[in-house]
Amino acid sequence: MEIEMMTESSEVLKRRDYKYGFVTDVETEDFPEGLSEDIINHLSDIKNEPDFIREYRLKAFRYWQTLEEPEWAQLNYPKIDFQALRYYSAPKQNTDGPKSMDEVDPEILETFKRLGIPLGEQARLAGVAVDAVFDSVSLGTSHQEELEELGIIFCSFSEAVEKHPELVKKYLGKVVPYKDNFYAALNAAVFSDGSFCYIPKNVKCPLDLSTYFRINSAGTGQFERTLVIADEGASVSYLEGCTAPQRDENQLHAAVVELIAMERASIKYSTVQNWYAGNENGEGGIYNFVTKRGLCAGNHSHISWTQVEAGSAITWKYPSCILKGDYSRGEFYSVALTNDHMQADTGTKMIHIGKHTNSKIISKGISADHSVNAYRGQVKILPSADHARNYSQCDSMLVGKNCSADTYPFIEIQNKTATVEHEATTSKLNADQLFYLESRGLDEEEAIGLLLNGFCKDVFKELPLEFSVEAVKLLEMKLEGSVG
Amino acid sequence: MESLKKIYEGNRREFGNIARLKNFSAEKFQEFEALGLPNRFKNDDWKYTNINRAFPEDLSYLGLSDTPDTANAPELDSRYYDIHIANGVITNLNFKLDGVSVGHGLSESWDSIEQSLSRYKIKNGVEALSQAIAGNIVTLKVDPATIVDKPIRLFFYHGHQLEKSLVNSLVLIEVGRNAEVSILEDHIGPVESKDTLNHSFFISIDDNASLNHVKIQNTGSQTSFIDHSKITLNRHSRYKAYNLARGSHFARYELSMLLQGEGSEATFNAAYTTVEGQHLDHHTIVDHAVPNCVSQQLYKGITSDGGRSVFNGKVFIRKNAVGTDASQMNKNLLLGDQAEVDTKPQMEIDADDVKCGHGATVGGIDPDQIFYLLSRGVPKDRAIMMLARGFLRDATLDSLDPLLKERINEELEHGLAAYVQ
Repeated sequence: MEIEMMTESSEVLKRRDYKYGFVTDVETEDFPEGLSEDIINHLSDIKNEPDFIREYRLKAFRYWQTLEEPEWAQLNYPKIDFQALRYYSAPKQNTDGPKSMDEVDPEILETFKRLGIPLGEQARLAGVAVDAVFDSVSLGTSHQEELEELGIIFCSFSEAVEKHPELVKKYLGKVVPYKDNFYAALNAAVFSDGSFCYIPKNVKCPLDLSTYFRINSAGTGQFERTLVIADEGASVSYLEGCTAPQRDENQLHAAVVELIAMERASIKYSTVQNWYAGNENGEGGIYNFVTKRGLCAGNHSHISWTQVEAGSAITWKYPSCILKGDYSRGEFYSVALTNDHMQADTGTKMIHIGKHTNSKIISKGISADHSVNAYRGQVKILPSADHARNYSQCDSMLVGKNCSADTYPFIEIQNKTATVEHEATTSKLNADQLFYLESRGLDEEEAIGLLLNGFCKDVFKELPLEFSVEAVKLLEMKLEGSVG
Repeated sequence: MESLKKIYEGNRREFGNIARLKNFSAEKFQEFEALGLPNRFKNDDWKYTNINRAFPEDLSYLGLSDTPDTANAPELDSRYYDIHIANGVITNLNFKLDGVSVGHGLSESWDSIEQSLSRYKIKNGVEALSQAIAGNIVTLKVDPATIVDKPIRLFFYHGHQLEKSLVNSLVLIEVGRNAEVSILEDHIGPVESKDTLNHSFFISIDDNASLNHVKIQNTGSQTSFIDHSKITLNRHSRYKAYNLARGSHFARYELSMLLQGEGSEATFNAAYTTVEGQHLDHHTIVDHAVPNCVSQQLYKGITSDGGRSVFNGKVFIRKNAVGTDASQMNKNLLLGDQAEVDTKPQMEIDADDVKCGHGATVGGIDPDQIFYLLSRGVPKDRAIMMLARGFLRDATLDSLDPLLKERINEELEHGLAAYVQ
């Protein structure tokens, strides 16, 4: 009798609705479905963009038309009809747009409140500057003045195009050119908005910069573009967190993130991704096809990627580092959790070009239910990279009998002074350990939390504190009812 | 492709009126034409290796029925049960043993051969081609419960005029229940030879049988060497293999191991050395299809100036293969400025209660170790040699026949000698 009750309660937990699954009812200005040069021109017109952006978009679009959708990742999903997507969706604005938080549509503010995003005063208390992206147009940006004093530019991409065209022109597409891949080309053609961040020389950004992305309108792909530049000696920590409402229809997210670190600069980019992953039958959910890449352009520069991937029906992303400057460092810390019918193919690329470059990869994959979780990574040491060093560790944890964990590392070494180590292990969430903890009086949830925390410790300790707490909670919630 | 077609047609003429063989060959060649040679840009398994290097357009046809030229044949070695093979044909052997049967040629037993071959799935064009042009098939059968006291040696040598020829051989090995045997494969060839040597081995190990398998490849430095080995392990069988590769300017090894009987164990180690202009590629697939099997791989290689080594290992653990213990390791030592190492240790795991790990390392010799040896009065050359030797010997299997171990060490020394100026 008791056993029956227990299984029932775990079933209930498992079906727990997506916490952030609600749709905000805001009037939106949508484009018709489909993609053509007209649509792109129209997009440029609306956003009042300078010619170089328009040309960039058109060039990318023409190139994109020559490409075929990549299929190598062995992901299983119905083909996307790119002509059936809508490429722009913006909340209807007052003629001048909101200037302060008070002017923002209260319903949108309510949404953020429900998501628990610290905005305005909340943001100040939490010490976080938020540039919140609601669908495609940036809304209120906080802490702007404080940052302006230091010369830090942190604004929406559209604003950057308007106010700092010289910087955008100089760096746009330098790390991820539009010819990079299918989705990068698509993004370059239709990117709607995103974030732009420039840290001037020798400035240490006093706040963790943060953007929340939220996909809202049905049937719109969101094509964000983020550009973070840390000039000589600058340093910044950037947070990106995502939640999306529940949808029956798949949504495409093809973002591009470019990071550039000059001499002695340091960029830390952290992501918690928890988009809607579809229901337990694998219907619906976000397709997350993202190109993220950082360039360590100067000597002694440093780029660190930390990601917690817990959502999306399909995740396909490889935050990478090009280590061009001598003594530059690249790091990648990742926890990818998949459950139900989620598919994740994620990893990194570390391209060593400069001398004495150093990279570290720590990847933890947890798969549960019917999910597929793959690590795919590349470490390439070019002949010029004397005394390069890489350490990679990829651990997988399997929870349940129907999931799978794959590892595909590519290690290409062309310099004899390189030292490269790669190791990977696979284990299961141990029933004995759980039993032990439960016998000591911890309940199942706490026990799982503790074990997960131990497994992912190396990654979580890299996250900013508030993210770290959120991440553990997220994983615990996702795995409820999966462990038996 | 044209040259390969000519070779195939030449073969077909010589099959004479053996209709079954002709049909089989035609079928396989059709398959080859459909698959084509693996493409580097389309097939990830061939990303680092251009197979066209092994199949140049001017590859000439070597007659199936031409009796191999035995003038250069080495002598039979009484330490082994010795079988000499040239151009895929047995030319000499020194034993007749109860429980061991050896067959070859365009034999009448084609039915059973075809049946055996049909159990193995063709993966790529090269495999289809090997079967399409294989007329002479060597079979080696060890009867159940036979324990062979000395290693059986398959000695592959060069037995034809010096030309750019395609030498194709296909060997079927069956080890019966409870049998135990050691096999040494020895590959040699003249320095000037520009042949492409294409070998296929199909090995099946029955319940509780044991096979130790050593492969030593030291063919001429201008030959291309392709090796496909497919091994099936049944209940509680044991397979231990050691592969030493140092000859040929282009080599590709494809080893597929299928653990289809519960409780089977496979160990696969390799040591290899590459020097300037050499391209050496090891591909392994270990497929755990049933519960409670063990597999271990340790590949160690030294790559020096101008050489390139590739390792691509893949471990599959199928859904019901619980209790699997699989490990895979590739270690590389780099000894030159222009050396390149590409390594891909991969895993696909669909079962939860398993132990599985893999790893890869690439690096040069530790300067501290060299310094230590120098401080002890060891000259630098010798210090490097000592460290390199220690590195490679690590892969040698302890449980091998002493005769084989001695042979391995000898070859390793020859391989290492290339690194000391």
